[in-house]
Amino acid sequence: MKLNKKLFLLPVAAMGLGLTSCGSEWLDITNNTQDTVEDYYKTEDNIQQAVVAAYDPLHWFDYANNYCGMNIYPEVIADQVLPGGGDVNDMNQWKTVFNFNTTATVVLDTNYSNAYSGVKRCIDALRYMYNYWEPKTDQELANREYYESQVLALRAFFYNYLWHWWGNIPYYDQALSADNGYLATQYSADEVYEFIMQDLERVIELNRLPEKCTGSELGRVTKHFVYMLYAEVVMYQNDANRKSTALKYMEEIISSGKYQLASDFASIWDVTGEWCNESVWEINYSDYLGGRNWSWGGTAGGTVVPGMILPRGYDSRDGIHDNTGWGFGTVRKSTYDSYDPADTRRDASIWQPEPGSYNVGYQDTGYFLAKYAGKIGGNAGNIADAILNYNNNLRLYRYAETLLNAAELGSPNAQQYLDMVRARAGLGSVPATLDNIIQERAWEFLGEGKRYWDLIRTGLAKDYLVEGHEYLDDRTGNYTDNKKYLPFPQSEIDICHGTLKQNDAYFQ
Amino acid sequence: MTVAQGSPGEEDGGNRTGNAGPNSAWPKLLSYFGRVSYDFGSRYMVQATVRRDGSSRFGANHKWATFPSFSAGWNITNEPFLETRPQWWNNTKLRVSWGKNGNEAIGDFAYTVMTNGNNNYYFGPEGSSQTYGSKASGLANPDLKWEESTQTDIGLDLGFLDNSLQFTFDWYKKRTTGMLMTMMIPTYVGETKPIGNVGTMDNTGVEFDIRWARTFGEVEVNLGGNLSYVKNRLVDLGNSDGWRSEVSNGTAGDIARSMNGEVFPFFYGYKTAGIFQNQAEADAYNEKYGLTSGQTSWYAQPGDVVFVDTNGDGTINADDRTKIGKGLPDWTYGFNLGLGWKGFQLTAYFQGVWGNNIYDASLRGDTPAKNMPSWMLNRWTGEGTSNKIPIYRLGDSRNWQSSDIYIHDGAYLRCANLTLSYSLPYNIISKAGLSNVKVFVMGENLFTATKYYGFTPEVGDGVNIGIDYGNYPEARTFSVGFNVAF
Repeated sequence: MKLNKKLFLLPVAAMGLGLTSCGSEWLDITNNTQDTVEDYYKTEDNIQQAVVAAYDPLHWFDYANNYCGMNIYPEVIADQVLPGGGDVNDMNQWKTVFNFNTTATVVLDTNYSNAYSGVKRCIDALRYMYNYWEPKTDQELANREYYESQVLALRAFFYNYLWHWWGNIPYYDQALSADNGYLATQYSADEVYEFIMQDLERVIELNRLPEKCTGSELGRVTKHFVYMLYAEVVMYQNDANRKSTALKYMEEIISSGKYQLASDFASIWDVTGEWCNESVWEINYSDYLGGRNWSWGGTAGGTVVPGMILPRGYDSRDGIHDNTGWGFGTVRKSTYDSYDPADTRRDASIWQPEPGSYNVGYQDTGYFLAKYAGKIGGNAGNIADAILNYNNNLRLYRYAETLLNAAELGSPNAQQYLDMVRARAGLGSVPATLDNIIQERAWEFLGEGKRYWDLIRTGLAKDYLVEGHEYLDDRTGNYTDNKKYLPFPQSEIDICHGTLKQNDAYFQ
Repeated sequence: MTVAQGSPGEEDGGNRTGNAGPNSAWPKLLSYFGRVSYDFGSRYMVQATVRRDGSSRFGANHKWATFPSFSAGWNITNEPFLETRPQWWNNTKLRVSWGKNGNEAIGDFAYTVMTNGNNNYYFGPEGSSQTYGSKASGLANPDLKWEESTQTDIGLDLGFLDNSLQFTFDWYKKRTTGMLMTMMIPTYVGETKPIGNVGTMDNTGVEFDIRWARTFGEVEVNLGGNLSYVKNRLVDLGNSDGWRSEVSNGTAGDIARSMNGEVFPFFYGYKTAGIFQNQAEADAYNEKYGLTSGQTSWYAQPGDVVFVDTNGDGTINADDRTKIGKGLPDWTYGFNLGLGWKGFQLTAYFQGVWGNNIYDASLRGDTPAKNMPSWMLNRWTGEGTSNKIPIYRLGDSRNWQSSDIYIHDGAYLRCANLTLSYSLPYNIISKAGLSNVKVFVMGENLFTATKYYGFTPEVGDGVNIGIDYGNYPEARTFSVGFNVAF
């Protein structure tokens, strides 16, 4: 037998293994089409882009696959409007929340993530302007405080949204990264309230925002926007310690002389009524080159709410309202009847298409929301999917609310402010009691998404948001105090591996 | 030292995320490897290889990974105690190997953050243009590293009759860890979730290969075939749900999902039990499941699909969706045959798969007004006309949700190549100073035996495996040519 032995040893193999750095530099490649954030956000122009990107999510909420616009979604939970739509399953998410049987799997999940997208962009913009950009002049330093003020105000706004719906939310003000496992700490609603106030108080202290924007700056956050947000948050928290400050801010807006109530209530809701003298702040939607499309609703463009709330298959016989409707957000007859016939707000807030001019949908009452109803031509300029691109701005804060806030916060001029709002609507005076002010808000802000929050913060929700018998398909569940907050999306609870506790009412 | 460098993708067996964008100069790959082999008496053979791979797709601390492998062989027929074996028994070799290798089939720069544009907002009065905004492209994952596969293989080689008959058998088990997929982190990060080393997958399989060649006088015959079986199982998706959506198709919803313990991915939807042939059947169903006209889109009418209450909870809803098939074949096979006679050569190659499904996503029933495939002519138009294809209505979302009516048997056998050639005798062509002249006729993709009606049963890959979006079919090619060698 022959013994055949072979031995190969590639001699430098071991050497190659040891030299991990050998060639490592060769592996560093450069991206030819995108900069790293460190390189990109070194200039003021680019910092401004990061600030714009923080505004961008503001306009996602009405669509973004949830169709739960900031104004319309609270309305369908409150007591003036019904969910409507094509059938009982149409917008199931609206139907469950309307009946207070929301579950963690049918919940506002996309808007939850939208708001956090806003938060994250604000935090990034702050990081870029303080870590990568080095302002050289006093003017640039001042500008940086202006940019900081904008993103802090926006961050407060996004957190306010989350705080309203979920209360005990994960809060962070530094970027989440692999270092912390991408995890944030969950805080109680009261703690989150303090965080929101800190941002707003910092913005007010910086004092870099203009009271009001004009021209090409319309839509940027302003000092008066911050004041309105401050009042909203304080009033929702019922924080006795800050109410006087909130009142002071309302009085400041009133005494600035920059606003007045529109004499014709209906005119506010025309496209020409955008940013009118009554407008404190709006989220801009536009059909001009509006790019909203079915596959990605985040593109800047118009809004879908106006199409959603039109009657289904309306024949446009009035020459005003568009024919693209889905029949959502029908108005209760009791809401219509609650208005004084002399109240000009009634027919500016509710319209009645002629019977036979549209297809009857689910929970049809014959009454439809008018303020944001899609108008013929309102999406003419879009370059994507028409129904997603109506040009109606979301009038988030109106001077009427400033007046009613001031009245409610105990202004010595409370009676005068309430009277001003009523007089504009063609009504006489009523005493400026809390009940009357809350009722006035119901008439004034129908369709604007204020009523639900009013009912909760005043403790009236459990009396008003109950099973109803006005309609065959009326509400089948009751509001209870432990339903103040929605459940977190189940997917989020799951993915947080025990670091996110479900809100009580929905805790298994 | 051997230094190999090149663009990646050459070795990525399991490209799942693959969206390598053209945003860099070129991704780079750098490898060192060393090998030691030892052969004792042509009986015992061992070999150890260590390679170290570096990829530009990972961050500074994770560019490099080490992949060892080891193999041993035992050539039993060279043992002294088998010296007296029968003459027809030529070769028996047992092989065992174990090794690791890596996958870096992701896009570039996934470990860091770039900038993205067009995050715009409208400022100014109605009619103003959008103001340009930009932001981070995502979240950084500096821990991103190589996906690793560890494979164990046991094989047997046999040779008989002067090695004219050869047989190879392999069993393998491969476990892939740190699969490169989107990380399961909270949504509140407010950003596209980064790619991370998530999940574990197992592939276990067997492979057979057989070759036979023989000459009968002037006729040469050779036959060969291979057959492989694979069982794929997603061990851990890396999230607490244990499942996720992989592919959605409009209002049909999720059509492919992945789930722990299941094949990756699988087709997802409702099970069906035919078509309601008449009003009585529909009424009984509506009654049983409490479906009311106008109240629910599940309300059944004659010609509608009978969706099954899979979970038995007495209602028909999204919870009834389940696994309805898979695109990955159990069996893949191929065989070739060759015949030669006096310069003529006939070769044929066939290949096919068995034990898989095709999801026909080429037609979405809910999209109105469009051209229809001809099978729509066989739809339900009255009692007894069809128990498979529902009635056609414009904009019908009820019947065309993801269900097993989209699922078809994906088995096929394809004649991949058939070639007839003739080489002119050397004693003739050598006079013309030529060493070889060959003329041939070749047909590729000549026919495919399958029950599937689509353009081709070979559809999709990655998470889209087995999903037919109306893919362009493989062409049938005929070639006539000649080769001349001087």
